[in-house]
Amino acid sequence: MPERQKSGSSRIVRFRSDILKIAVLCKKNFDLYIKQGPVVIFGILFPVFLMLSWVIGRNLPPTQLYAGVVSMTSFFTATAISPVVLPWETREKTLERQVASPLTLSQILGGIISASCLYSVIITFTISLIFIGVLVLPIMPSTNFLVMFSVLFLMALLGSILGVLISAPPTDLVANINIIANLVKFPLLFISGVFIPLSTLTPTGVILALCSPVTYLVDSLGWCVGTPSYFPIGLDIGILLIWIVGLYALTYVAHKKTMVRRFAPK
Amino acid sequence: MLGPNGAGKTTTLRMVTGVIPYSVPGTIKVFGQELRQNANYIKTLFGVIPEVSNAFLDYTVSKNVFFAGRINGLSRHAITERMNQLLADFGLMEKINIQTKALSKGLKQRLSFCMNLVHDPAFLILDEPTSGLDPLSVQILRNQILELRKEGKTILLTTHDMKEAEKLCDRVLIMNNGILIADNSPDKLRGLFGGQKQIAFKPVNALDPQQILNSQSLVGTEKIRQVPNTGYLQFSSSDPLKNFVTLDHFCTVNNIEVADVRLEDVTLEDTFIHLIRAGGEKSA
Repeated sequence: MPERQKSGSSRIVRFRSDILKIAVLCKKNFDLYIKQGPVVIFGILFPVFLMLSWVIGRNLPPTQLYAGVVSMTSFFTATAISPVVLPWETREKTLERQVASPLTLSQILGGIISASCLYSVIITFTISLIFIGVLVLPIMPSTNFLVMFSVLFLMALLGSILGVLISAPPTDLVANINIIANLVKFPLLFISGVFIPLSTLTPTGVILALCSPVTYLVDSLGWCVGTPSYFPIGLDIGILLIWIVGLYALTYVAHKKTMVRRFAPK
Repeated sequence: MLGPNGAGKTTTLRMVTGVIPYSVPGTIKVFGQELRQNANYIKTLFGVIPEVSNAFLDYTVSKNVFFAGRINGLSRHAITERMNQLLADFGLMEKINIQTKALSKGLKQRLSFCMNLVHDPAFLILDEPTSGLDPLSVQILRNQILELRKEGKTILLTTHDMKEAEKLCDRVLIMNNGILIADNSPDKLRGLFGGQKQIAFKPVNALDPQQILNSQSLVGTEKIRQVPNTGYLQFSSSDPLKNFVTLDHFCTVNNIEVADVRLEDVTLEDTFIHLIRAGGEKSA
């Protein structure tokens, strides 16, 4: 039998094995899905054109422009890969092989979430640095990079988990999942403070905005580049963390229920 | 594992591999260990090869094998060593850097074998592995299965190809409508209905139902079967010489002209058809 990597029952060894398997799955998902049509369309083209339609012809302050564009980029890129993987792999039968392998549901979901998160982080960090260099630094030299990268990472993670949750219905058609994804993503974006700052929203608008995680990202990104935030920055980060934990728990339960139905005899 | 379409073979395999759950009173034990309690460990002992290759189409041959090794916890060094040997055994060495989507169906299936053998599993589960493949790929895969059998690996194979089952298996399970209806060696199954030989004869003019009923006296309790679309009648024989004499007598007395008469080995296919029909009649 070929030499296996060290195994054992201690928590540290098991944790190491989990991380290694998630890393292997992450690499596979990243390699295979970043070039797929739905990922390019919903992760890059869509936010670019949405951003252009928002920006062109409006005289927006650079800090609001930065927070809005980067929030949109972060949200769209984070939710681009993760909804696509499970229906795609159900159709190609590659998911069944993974389920029959020594992989747990958490590892399979972790592989998708990490790949999607990595994709978002790479694109969003790059866009963010370019925007800050061009728009923000000339007027606001004391940008808080630590908080900025932290909230962008949290949003990438949150969006990735949301994408996996959206793919819970046991279909093998990517188009069906993308319909659900659009039904969820667009309302969350439009009710947030991306297009209209929270301070200028009506009370009903603010209540609606509180229901979207994107609101807390826009608010904290604005704070990073010197705009007064609507909520304390700690609260923004805390709420993003709560969203992450809650969404992951929901995602795990949903997939535990629907995974079996993907392989039920038709 | 044999059975008609919809018999429950693939569902059974999916339960064994932990892909779908099985009902609570039931148990599945692999090498003495309860699957439900030790699923993650037991899955390291499996190699599961489906009817249609489930390699990642956008990955190269080597990346697919590498991925399979990594999720089974093998080190890079161990995978490389084992991969080279497997790709050579399955005639895929020159395709090592080719994308899987560019491979033929037969080559993809050979790749499936390499992916599922990379961790040297003790238990191989093959779901119709040679279905729809070219003769060369079928021969390579069957030889490799025989080699693996010689190495002492446990192999659970489903197939519709009775010759394949006779050649590769030392125990045959026949399923119908989700129920196991036979479990024995191919030899014993062949002898299940009155012997290892059967006599087939073809009257010049088709017999009417009454004549067929009368011909029952040829073989006693054993049923005379009509072979569909051939005009032949067939019955199992434990004493062919005696049966030839009584057949000749029966035809002379009843003025039946016989165009052809043959002594044949009972095949697994005959037994299979017999069992499934008997099951069908019983359930009807």
